Amino acid sequence: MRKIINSFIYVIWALIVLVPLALIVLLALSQRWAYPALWPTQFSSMATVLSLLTSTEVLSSLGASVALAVGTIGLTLLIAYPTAMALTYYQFPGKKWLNLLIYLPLIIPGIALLTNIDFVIIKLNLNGRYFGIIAVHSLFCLPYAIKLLSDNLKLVGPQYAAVSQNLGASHWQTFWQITVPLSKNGLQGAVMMTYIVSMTQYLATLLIGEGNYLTLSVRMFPFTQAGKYQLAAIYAIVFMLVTLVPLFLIDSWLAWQERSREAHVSIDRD
Amino acid sequence: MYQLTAINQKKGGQVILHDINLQIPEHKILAILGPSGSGKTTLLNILAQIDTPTGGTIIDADGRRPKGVMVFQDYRLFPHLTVLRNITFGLKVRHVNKASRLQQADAIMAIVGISDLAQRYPDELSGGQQQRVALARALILKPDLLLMDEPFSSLDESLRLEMLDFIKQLQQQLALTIVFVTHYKSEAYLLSNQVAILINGQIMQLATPQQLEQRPANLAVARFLGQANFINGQWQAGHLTTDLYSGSANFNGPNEQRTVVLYLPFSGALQLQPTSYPAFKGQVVALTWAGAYEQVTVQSAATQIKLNLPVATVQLQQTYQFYFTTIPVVF
Repeated sequence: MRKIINSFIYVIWALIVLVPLALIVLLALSQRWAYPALWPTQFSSMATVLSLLTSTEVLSSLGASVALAVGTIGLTLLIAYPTAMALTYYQFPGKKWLNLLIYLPLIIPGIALLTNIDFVIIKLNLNGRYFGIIAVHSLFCLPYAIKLLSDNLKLVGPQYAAVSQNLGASHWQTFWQITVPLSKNGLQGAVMMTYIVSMTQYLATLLIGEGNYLTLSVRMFPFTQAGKYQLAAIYAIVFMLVTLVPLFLIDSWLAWQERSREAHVSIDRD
Repeated sequence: MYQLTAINQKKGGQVILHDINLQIPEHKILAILGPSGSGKTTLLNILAQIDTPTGGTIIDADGRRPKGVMVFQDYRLFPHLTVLRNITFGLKVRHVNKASRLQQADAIMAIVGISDLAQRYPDELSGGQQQRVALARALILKPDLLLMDEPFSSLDESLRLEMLDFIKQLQQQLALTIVFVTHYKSEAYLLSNQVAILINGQIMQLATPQQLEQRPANLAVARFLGQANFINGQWQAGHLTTDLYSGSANFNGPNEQRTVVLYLPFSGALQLQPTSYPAFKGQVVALTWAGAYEQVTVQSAATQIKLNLPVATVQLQQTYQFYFTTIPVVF
C-alpha cells in the first residue's frame, strides 16, 4: 500500500515538472497551435527547428549570457569570499551593519534599485559596458554567494587554518591549500547560484547594458510579449540547457572525484 | 633550556595568564596541570605561536624563539588530504623537494608505526591512528618543542595507557622536549618528569610528581591535587590545634594567619610504625579494597578521615595509634 502511495506521489511530482517542460518542447516544435486546438495543428520540420536553435541570434545571445555569467562569477567570488571569511572568523565594529547591508539588494524592490543604479552607472561612465553589467549582476548575486560561503566556512571552522600556520604555512599558503579546498561545497553552491542568478537577469542587463548585451533572457522576453511562442520556447530550451548542463557537469565531476577516492581506498585495503 | 619570562595574556579586560615565569628543560617531558579554565591551553597556544601574548618573552639558550609544533586534542588532521599529505604538509609549505619529503615521511611513519596508512584519509582512521598521524605530522618538522593539548582525553582507557607508553618511548628514542597540558593528575604523573601547576593563570608550583604530593606549595595546589583530608584548626605561637591532632606542624600559610588547614594526603602521610611524630588514635570504621591498597576510613573523636593503607594493615572496628611519616603541613 505504502509503495503504491509513494509511486503515486512520485508520478504526480514527475508530471508537475514534466508537463510544463513538454509544453515548452511542443511549443518549440509547432508552427501553428491556435486556440481552441488541444494539439499543435502544424509542426515545423526538424530542419527548421534546428536552424532556429542554431541561428546567429540564439548563438550570439548564448555567448553574451555565458560571458556575463562567467564575469559575474569571478567578480562575485572575489568580493564574497573575503567578506564571508571576515563575517565568519573575525570580530570588527560594524559587523552587524555589514550583515544587513549584504541583504539590502534582496530587500529593496529590484526596479527601484535598478533605476537608481542606472543613474550611478551612467555617472561612472560604465553604462553599456561589460564591467558595468557584471558589477550590477554581482550585486544581486552577492547575498546568495556570501550566505552560502559563510555558512560553509562556519561549518569548516577556523581551526584548520590555525593548524596550517602552526605547521609553518603562510597566510597565503593556508588560504589556497587549506581554507579553499575545505570550503569546496560552499564554493560550488555559490558558483551555481551566481551562474543562475546572472543568467536570469533581465532588467539589469537591459537597463545597464543599453542593448549592447542581448542575452538569452533579454531576447526571450519580447517574444513572449509578442505572442511568438515558438521562438520564445526555443530560447527557453537553450536557456535551460545552458543553466542545467554546467550544474550537471560540476555535480558529476564532484561525484566522480568522490568515487575515485573511494575506489582508491578500497584498493588500498585489499 | 627554554625560558619563559613574564608571560602575560589579557583578553577583553580579563587576565588569562599572569606573569608566567617557567623553565622548560630540554629533552624532558613537562606537564602543565591545572583545572579547566586555568589558562593551560592559552599557554600552549602561545608556545605554538598560534596566540600572541600581551607581554613576555620565550627564548632558548641562544636567545632565539623556539619552534613549537602542536598535536591538538582533536588531532585536526586535514580532512581533504591523505595521511601522507597531512604528514608532509609542513615540509611542502617550506618548499622541501618531493623526493626528500617522501623519504622523511617514510622514516617518520615507520617510527610511529603508520606506514600502512599512508594513502588513507583521516575519516577512515581510529582515534589512536589519528593521534599517531598528528604526531608524525609534528615530528617530521623536528620541532624544538612538541606541544600536546590534552593528548589522552579522547582515547579510551586501554588505548590511553598504550599511547602513554608509546609517547614516553618516543621521547627517549628521539630525545624530544615535550610540553603537554592536562587536567588529569594521573596522566601528568605517569608521563612527565616535571609538573607545573597552573591555577587561575598563575604557575603555582613546578616540581616532580612526588614533591607535589608531599609538599604542595599552597592550599590552592593541595585542594586541586585532591586525594587529601583538609582539617580546619587554629595556629598560635607555633602550635596547631585541631579536633584531630594538636601539636607541632610545618606552617606554610601567609604570616599572621590564625585559622589554618591541616593537610593530610590519603597516601603517604600516616602510618602505624612509630615515628617521632605521633598523630592520633582512631578507629577503623570502613574498609574498601582498591587493588594496590585499601581505602580506610578512620574515626577519631568527631572527625573522620580517609587513608590509603597497604592491604591488610588494619582491621575493621579496631582502634590504632597513627603516626605522621614526617612533620605535618599546615596552610
